[in-house]
Amino acid sequence: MSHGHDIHIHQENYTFSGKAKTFSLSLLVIGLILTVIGIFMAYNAGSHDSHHDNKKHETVKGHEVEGKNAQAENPAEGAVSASHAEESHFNIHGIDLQHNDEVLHPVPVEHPKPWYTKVWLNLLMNGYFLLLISVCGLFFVALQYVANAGWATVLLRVPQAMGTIFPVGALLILLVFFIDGENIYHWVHYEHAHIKPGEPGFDKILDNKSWFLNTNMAVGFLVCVPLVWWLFGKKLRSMSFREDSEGGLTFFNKSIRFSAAFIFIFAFTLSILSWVITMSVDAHWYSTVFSIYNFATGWVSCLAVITLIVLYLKRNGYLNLVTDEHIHDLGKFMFAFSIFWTYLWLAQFLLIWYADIPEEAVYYYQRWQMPFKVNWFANIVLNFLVPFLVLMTRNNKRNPKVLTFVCICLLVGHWNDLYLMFMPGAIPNQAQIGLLEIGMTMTFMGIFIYWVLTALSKQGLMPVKHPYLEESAHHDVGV
Amino acid sequence: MIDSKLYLDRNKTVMFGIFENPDKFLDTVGKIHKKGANIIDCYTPFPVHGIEKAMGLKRSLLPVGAFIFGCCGFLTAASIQWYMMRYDWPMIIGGKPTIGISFMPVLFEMSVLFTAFGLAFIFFFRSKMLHGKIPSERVDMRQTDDRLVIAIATDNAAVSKSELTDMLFDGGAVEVKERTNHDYEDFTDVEIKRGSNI
Amino acid sequence: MIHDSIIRTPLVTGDKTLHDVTTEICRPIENKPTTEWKVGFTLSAIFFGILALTLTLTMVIGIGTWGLNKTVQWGWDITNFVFWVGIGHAGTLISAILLLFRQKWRMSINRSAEAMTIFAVMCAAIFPLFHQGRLWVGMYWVLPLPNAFGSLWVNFHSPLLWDVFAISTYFSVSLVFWYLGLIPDIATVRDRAKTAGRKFWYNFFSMGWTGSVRTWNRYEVVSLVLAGISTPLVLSVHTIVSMDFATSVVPGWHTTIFPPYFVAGAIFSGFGMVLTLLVIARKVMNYQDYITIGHLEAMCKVVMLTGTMVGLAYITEFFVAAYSGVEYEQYAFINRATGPYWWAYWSMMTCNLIAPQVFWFKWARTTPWFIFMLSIVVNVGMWFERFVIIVTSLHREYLPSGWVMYSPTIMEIGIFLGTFGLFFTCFFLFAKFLPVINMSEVKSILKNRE
Repeated sequence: MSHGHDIHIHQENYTFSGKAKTFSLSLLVIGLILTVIGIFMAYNAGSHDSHHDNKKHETVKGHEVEGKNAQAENPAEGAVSASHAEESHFNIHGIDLQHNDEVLHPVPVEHPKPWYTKVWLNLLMNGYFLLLISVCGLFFVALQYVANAGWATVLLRVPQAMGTIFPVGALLILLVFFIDGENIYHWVHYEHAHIKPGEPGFDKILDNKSWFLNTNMAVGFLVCVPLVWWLFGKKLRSMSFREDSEGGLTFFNKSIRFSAAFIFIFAFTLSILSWVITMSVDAHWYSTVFSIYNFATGWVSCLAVITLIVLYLKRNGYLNLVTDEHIHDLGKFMFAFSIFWTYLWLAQFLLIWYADIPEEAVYYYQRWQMPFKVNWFANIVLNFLVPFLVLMTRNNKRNPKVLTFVCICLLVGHWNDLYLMFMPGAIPNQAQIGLLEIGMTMTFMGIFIYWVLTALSKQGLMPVKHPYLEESAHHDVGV
Repeated sequence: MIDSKLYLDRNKTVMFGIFENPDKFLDTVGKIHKKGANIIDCYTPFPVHGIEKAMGLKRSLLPVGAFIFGCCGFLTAASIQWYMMRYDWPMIIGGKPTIGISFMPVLFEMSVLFTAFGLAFIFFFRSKMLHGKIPSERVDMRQTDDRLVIAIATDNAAVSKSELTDMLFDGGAVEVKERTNHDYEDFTDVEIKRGSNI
Repeated sequence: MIHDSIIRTPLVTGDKTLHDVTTEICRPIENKPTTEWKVGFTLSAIFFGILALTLTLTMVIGIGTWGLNKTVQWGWDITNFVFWVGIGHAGTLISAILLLFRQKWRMSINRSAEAMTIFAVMCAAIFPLFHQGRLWVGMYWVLPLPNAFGSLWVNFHSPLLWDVFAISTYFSVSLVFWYLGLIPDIATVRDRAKTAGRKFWYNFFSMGWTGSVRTWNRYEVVSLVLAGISTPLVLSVHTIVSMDFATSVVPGWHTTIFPPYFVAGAIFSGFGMVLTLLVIARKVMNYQDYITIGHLEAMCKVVMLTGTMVGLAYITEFFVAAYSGVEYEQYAFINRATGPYWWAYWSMMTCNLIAPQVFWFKWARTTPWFIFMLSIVVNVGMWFERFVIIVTSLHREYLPSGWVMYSPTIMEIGIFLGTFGLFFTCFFLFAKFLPVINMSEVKSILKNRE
């Protein structure tokens, strides 16, 4: 046809070149150096502080919120804290208001955190980010099969390669949980304290949660869920590669079935993991939309990473069948799901803000204090305003430079989102974005790039016998 | 080559090629456009994919208008809410600030409302559509059913009439005609047969 | 040129030509109404009569005819309002979201689904409008108009006012979207018209459409932008409906998952209703080649997906209530499952979470009579969901003095039945006077291009 372009379908093999290798390894090395410096800085600052902390915490105060308490110890925040002094009484975190007699009992403030908790927490947070991005890559692949979608077939190998790294994230989370779970998760600390009802320090809420928030359950989920995902990922991948060599529709049809099952399981298990890993950092707090919100965070980040990798491969002469049309659609996806993320963010924030129930509102109250207030606003700007305003026009969605900029904003933004989920609850008075945070993230980036590009180089870049490949190569977004 | 002012004009002589196969039609449109002929417009019963490229049409700027309307809606909602809830009669409800995130839903709804209606309005305006308008550009009664029509201005020196006729017939046209007066239900059509002398 | 993969099942079967599509889809408009149509229309009109009667009585006697003198108050009426609004979501979902996702199977069902949206929103609007009693007085107070008491304005912090904006925006934007989609097809009917009346009216509404490619070019852009803004709009509508409940501090209502969960539920119920209508319509109107088994299968998959999402939300809610340690929340959920309204709760669970899981089996997704049965189950289940949320949370409030059992009055039941009359009357009129399937879009995906 007059407007059709010739399509040559052939296998492409990516070689993990010296330049990319150097880049990822230097990210890794510089990241590691920064991390080590960061650790020393944390040690110097923290060993002094934590001594100070411990002293304060020895006296268990009643009617205090952990955030409030933390505030009071930070001299720089003293003024803020004082001005809000009269407000602290209603944030009775962890007290069941119905039983007035129990209000008299002292409520445990969050236990003191040693300086190294910050290091482990950073590892946990980045590990979780890695897990989310990677498993969402797997979800992307499964979604294409289930939805019978053809457009993304030419770039399917990218999310497929991304989907191989989440076991690393899962292992790191498990590692951190064993090493420093006690300090990061207040409920682990509480579980180990074995406080009986009526004894000082008894926390009715945490006691109530012990059927779910206990070490056995958490470890069980942390082991089983990624294992199940890994099995699905392995199966889907092997079927896709066997299709390359053997052809036929068997693998395609089978993939659809496996994908449907995976998505079903994924929906339930990701919810559970988000409760265990993230929501339980604020052990008293709860929100029903939290799991979906976590998914949205991971999904948007995953789309940004897919776009970045596709753009990188394209620039280096690979993925010849990927045209502006596919890039455009990735841009549309990021645009749409950034709005979806904002929607869920608003659902959670607006409802909690509106009803203003103390045990819920304390979550946002904490995040409205410095230094988290900066992150709080950055969250909206990076994750909503930037993608919304920039990706609105058609030309921007087709412009690799603009897209790269938006992708980076989104990744920083969602990293920041996770930072807001983990830090204020676990280390409210130590959290600060410094060399440690930056270094650790760079290390993870290095590992991620190295791992994913290696995975890409091991197999062909094109699912050459995929029944939708030709359709995908002709993809046209239309108007 | 497309001049947007070249809508069917009652004084212009226009040649119509009528097709029944969309693929052949699209092919021919592309060829005639490349040749440099003056395609005034095409009439199709359904949106033919890729024809805007074949005809060299530019992408519509209507979304820009829609965006402006959306902004107007946003500002309208913002000023209404600000005026009523803050300026004219401040209302404190639930101890919350008079201006808050609870303004979001109405801001959003009004933006969407203005965008949709504004867009529909400028679309109708730009396409000269009006309730009860007589469809004067109706070449063939079946152009909304199963026939595709290409309308070419024949006053272009680059392509002669006979060349055009040949291209149309070679491309698969089932009928070619020439029209001089374009009034609704009052026009002069000259049926052109393949190879007829014009 | 269509580049679809060869393994894709054709969306229109029977090897139709362009002209076949026109004649077959215009047939009901150009021929005399069939017996099925007459019977169905009469039946619907009778129910519509019930609506007219009950609404008149409501206005003449007063709002006291509704069983509001209880702590559950508008329980029945809000249930029905949310039920109908929810049904109204599938149309926009199909025409907007599936357009953005380029799911081409939407093309032969979007017209009727959008029509359904508009009629369902009309039915929904009856409840909030008439709960004001003398609505010509009430309407004045819900709109931001200046009034006799100086500068007392409506409260923009109230979700109920957001609802006024959301529902009216949704209704009018859906109408615009639907009408835009209809214009090319109305022009087709106009050009085939034989009678003077038909010539006049279809010409009037076709706005001089000729199928100009320049117009098509703009038209496609307009459709895309409208789809783009309708997508967040459709989400926002049920979100705001959910916020009517969720911004409160009522146990069982105040939960942050409500917005996405209500939206998923709305799509679920909407698709239930689309299936109910289309399984019948394709048979009666002989449109099996346009609304194929493949279409039904795709819709069943959406039903299964959204049903599972709703189920996930039920489980999440229940889990978080247990997890939260808040006794009121825990009580609200235990009371739902084991309290006096246990039957409503378990009907909801069975119909919405468990029943759609049969669609994992291909047989269930491809057998029309079974799909029809299940779509009824889904409709019933989604009605019960709203009933459970509203009634169980209100009939056990913080003060035991407000604990009641709830049942609607005859008048309320009459209005609810009457809304079905309104809905189906509109649908029958639509099926008689407008093309039920979007001809121009279906033509663009025909494989037979000769």
